[in-house]
Amino acid sequence: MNPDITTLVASALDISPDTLSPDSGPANVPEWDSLAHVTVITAAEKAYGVELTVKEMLSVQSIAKLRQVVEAKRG
Amino acid sequence: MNPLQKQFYQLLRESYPMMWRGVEEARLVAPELVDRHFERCLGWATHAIGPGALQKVADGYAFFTMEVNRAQRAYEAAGKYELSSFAEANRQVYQNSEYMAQYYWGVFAILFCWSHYVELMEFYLARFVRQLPSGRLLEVAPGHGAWGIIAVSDRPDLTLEGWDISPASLTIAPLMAAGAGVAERCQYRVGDATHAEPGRDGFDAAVCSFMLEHLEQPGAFLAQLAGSLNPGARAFVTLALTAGQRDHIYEFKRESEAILMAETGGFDVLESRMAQPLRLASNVRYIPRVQALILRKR
Repeated sequence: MNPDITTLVASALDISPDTLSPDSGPANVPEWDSLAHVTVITAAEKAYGVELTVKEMLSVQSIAKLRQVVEAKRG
Repeated sequence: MNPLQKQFYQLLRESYPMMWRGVEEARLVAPELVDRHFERCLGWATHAIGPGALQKVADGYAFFTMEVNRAQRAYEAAGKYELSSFAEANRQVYQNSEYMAQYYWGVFAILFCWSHYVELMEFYLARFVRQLPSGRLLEVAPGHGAWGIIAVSDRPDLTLEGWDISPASLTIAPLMAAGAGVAERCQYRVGDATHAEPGRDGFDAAVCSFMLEHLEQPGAFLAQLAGSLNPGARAFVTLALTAGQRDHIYEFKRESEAILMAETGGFDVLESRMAQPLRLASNVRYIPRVQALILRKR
């Protein structure tokens, strides 16, 4: 069973999922820098069996967007 | 801070917020240097490619940084670089014009957006450019041309000859030089710098930024570089160590490796400076580092 994306992001950032919402992203989560971004994306790729292009990685600016990109890749 | 730089930072914050904190920290390493030189370089880029330059530089920076971060993870997992031959790197990277379009602006922007590169730029300006005698400066693999153009801009008594295997370099570096107002003192040629004929007179100085790790035999290249220089001439050479990047093929692991290669190749090593990023992943085997050497031809 695939993990919840918010829980996955929280784990990748090593923060509590209670602090996150669908709008959470690099602009409003201090821990979410460029290094953390790769950690988040890699975790999502592994959990959901997808591979994102660099363009898709850069388009992810919120948890909601990550969910959208992953769901689109899974078809 | 100046208008172009402010505009660039704003673009980065809006388009690529995951990049912003690192860039903000990089500026704090040397704010006066970053403000002064970044604004100049952004101006040259605007001259080279027109009104969309700042967005292009921001896009290139984000692309390159994300690629490098991902490549570093892959390197950490595999324990070695993905590619090991120049032919592979050429096929996958240098002949990919869409990739290179972003790559160039990425490696340009990191000069002032990555903290450890800002440290190297401080070192370059204070310990190399300012100490050079008048004369002919060779730049090997200039790419975007910023390293050499910065030197020639600061030193009206220098001329520059840049050699690059990529024809794309001829479309960018000369325009950047024109934007800097130094085009009449800068010449760029397509060719392999390891077989460059310096002419009857050797060069009086050389700069070679982040090329060694892209070569199968960097030691042989350093010897060839020494052969292009007049006795006593100085060279500024930078390289990356344990740093994942798609087209890195020679894995420098220790600071002493490049020093030994330079000494074997005919140089005395006058100064060596290492720098690492301010932000690092935790619990890693490999810390990406950069090294700058100031060499003197024996």
